[in-house]
Amino acid sequence: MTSFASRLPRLVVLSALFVAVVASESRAAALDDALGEGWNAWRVAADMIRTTRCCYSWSIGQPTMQACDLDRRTAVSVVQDNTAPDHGEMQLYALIESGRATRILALSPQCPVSTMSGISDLGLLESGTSLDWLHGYVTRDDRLSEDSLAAIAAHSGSVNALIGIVENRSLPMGIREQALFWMAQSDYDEAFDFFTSILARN
Amino acid sequence: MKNIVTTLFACLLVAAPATLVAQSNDTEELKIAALEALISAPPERALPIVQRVLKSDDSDEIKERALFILSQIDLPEAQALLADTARTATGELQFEAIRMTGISGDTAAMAGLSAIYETGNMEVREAVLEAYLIADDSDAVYQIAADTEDPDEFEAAVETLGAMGATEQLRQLRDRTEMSEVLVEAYAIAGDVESLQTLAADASDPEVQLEAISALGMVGGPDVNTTLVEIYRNAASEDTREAALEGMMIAGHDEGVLQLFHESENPAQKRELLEMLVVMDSDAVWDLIDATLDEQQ
Repeated sequence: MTSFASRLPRLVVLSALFVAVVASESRAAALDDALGEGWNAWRVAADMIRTTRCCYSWSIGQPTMQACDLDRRTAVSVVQDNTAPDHGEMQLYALIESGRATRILALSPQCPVSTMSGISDLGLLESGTSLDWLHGYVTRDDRLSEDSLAAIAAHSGSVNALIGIVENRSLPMGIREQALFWMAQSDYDEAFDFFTSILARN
Repeated sequence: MKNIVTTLFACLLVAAPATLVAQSNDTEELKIAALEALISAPPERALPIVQRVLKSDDSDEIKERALFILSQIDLPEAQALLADTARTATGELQFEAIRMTGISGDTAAMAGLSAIYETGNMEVREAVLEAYLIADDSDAVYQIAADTEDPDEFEAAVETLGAMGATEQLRQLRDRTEMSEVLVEAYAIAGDVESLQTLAADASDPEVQLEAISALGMVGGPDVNTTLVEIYRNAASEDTREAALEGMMIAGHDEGVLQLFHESENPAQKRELLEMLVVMDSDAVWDLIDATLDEQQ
């Protein structure tokens, strides 16, 4: 009895973790089911912190917003925009081919896009669902993982997801470094507390 | 059963240190990555973290990264901390703080470098010169060269001025005749053809003159090539001819050597010029062989 009592807190934590993992996986699976072949789009609450994400043409260092051609890999830039709000929404685009995402883009809602094919719009999604789904694509040091990470970083309250990526020693260091890079640009106390804790480790 | 337990224990003994090393490497890598990421953080967020790292007992490698981030934080407190570290740290960390002061280029922090130079040893002084080089502060380096009587210190400063291409400052040092050899080299590195041509034409110190002639080859270019060919043609001594030839070799001006070969009627000179073309691995040698064979037929 004493032995069970001493194990109880650990069991509770383990159960909570199990429930969280199962819930996270089921949310990601639910979004997977909702995504069709081709381009899909959805909106989430985002921390833009006075920036705009879009495709730009540059002239003498000055950016001009232009439509992102989804059929090509037009470069996406994050541009300082003091007129943009700190918090708002972000538009996510995912290209699904044979049931798997092959491209992921996070753009500002006002950023125009063009494509020869259609876009299936899923509307506004809960941040956690979107984060869990994106998390499944942060697996290795490649473009898709980088784009997923950039999209994760723009979600409201993404700090915990980014901390999870940094702490995941099974991920390549390059991806963990990028998660740190995105965290450094956030304005959350938790992010900088985490930096402090990493640097205090022995 | 006892065997299994012993084997398991042995495995644990072997695996535990390896796991600890892997974890320690991961922690070190993660710390470096975290510091590097701070470069994109708001300065007021990054500064307290960097301050804490500099006060910690972390490795010099970690602290050196922290110093780089510190140099990029555009806040007076950050620059003051960098200047303080450059002044009070020791060993590699001090050298790095000095170099990072050069990278930051902050006026107040840069001003503190002259005092550090004054009281520092040779290694500290080298780091200060490097900081001036990074910050492109040629006046500060000139002042060191102009003030010192120490040949090694003068040489280090003049070499730095050469690397900076600080032609004006180097010209101001031309009256330091006892240090002409160092200056000639610096003029060459700085690409100061004008100073080298002046010294090459000045016979008052034959040794310096010869050095200037061959150093012209280091600068190279059409003007220098023409000058070297002219010096060879009009040379009053064998030494001058040799210096000009050496200059042409350094400049890779085999056309000039070939031209002089054709012009020369002195067999000894012709042999010397031909040997030089061979040393230079010039295709002109094959043209000469073909021409000689044609003449014989």
